[in-house]
Amino acid sequence: MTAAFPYRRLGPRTPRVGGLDTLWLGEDHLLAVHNTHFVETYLRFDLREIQAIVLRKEFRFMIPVYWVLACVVAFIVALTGVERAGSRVADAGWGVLALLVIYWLIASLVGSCSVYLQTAVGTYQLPGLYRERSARRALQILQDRIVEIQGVLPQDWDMPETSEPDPAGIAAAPPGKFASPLVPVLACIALFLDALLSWLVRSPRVLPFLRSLSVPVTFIAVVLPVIAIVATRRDKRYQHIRILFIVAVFAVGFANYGNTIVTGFIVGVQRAGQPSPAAFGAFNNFLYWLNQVAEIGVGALGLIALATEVRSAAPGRHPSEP
Amino acid sequence: MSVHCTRCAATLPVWVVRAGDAALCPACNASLAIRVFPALLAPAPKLNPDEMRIEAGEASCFYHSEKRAAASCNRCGRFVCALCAVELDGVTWCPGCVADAQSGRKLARLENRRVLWDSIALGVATWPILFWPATLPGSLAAIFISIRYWKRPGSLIPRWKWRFIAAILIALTELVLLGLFIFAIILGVRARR
Repeated sequence: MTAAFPYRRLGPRTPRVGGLDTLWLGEDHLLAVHNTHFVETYLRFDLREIQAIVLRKEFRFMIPVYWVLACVVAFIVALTGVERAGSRVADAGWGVLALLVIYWLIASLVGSCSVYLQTAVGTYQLPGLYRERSARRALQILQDRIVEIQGVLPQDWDMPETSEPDPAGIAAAPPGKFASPLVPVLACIALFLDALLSWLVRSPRVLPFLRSLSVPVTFIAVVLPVIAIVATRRDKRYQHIRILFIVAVFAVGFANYGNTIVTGFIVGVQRAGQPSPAAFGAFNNFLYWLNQVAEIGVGALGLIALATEVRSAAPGRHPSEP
Repeated sequence: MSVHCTRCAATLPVWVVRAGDAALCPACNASLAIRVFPALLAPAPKLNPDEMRIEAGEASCFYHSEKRAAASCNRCGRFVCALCAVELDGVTWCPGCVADAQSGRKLARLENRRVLWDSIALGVATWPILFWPATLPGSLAAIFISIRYWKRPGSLIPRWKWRFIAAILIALTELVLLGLFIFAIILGVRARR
């Protein structure tokens, strides 16, 4: 901290579409800055008055400006690559775009959070912290500073007022029945198979058998994750796997519907006796990319998550129960 | 003196709050990471009306004549009661000086809003790129705003004046291009005659 500017930035300073929220740690207070491009508003929290910090994992579909710029660049490369440098450049552009979309979806669904500060007056959200990793890093610095000012809570601290909702009753509530990992495993395998078939079908010497097999496999690759989401909906252990399956279902659905529509356009244009625009074919390639990247990514991550999370959680127990 | 779930606003039991990073709201199953600090257990400050009551020979509050003065304003020297005394950065202020400082922007600690004139100047300067008929008023306005608000304090957080400089440069370029365009039109008209 310098004398000229007595603040230290906490968390990222990434502009989002719609504004920029930053967090600054001062000597004795926290400054939350909301920038709407032309006006800045400030909220100050005295570090002596912060009672609690609550980080909640949740979906946050924030759109960083840098991500939008990267998407625009990849899109331009994909479009111009079709005309100038052949389909390889276009394919690479669409592939990068697919990866960016998948990254954003996974980051928004799995790695996002919202952070709240509780004071005696009320609870305030800190909108600048929305990605879990950077939020935890920032909160660690903030927590250390608050501890310096307020000290540490005694080991045997208690809140007598909270005895009314009967925590024992909540703790004693019977945990839900734990779902079998069979359906999620089958769903992951189906996604892998569909990705493999979708790649094989695109080769020039494809067997007719594989072409006809790819349709029911795609159907299974969509239905099984949906069944897995429904079957494991009450089980906290499958929380992240469910999110992955949602990503996969959306990506596969989007890719297949888009592929059908674009192919329909190409066929229609060819029937009219006109050459089909190269961008249509390139967009189809992008849809294949999206489909394959999503399926392989979700399948691999899903199996890893199943292997780690399911085994690590002790059955028949609320994870935060003492 | 309790922590609430930020999704369903339910009061969280102590054993959930103690769980720290692995906390789950028993009501809505939200996944939470909770940190609590001693301020949570601190009792709310209570002002005793009997202690504030003034007695003969004692100084009274400037704003409440029936209450005993507890401090004096470090800015104007007025006596204020415990209710009126505002402590900022270790200095005691009276409500009048706080309001004065807030309206006159004399105390940065009290500011809760600032207009970013450099961003406005840049926005006004770049607007004619999208809507060319606004070139003359837009570029003139950008130059005016940049000069008029050059010394006005900008953001509270570090911010260089590159937006003002960019706005002036863009506006001057636009004016030059507009001048060349008008000159070319005049030359064309003369050539036709």
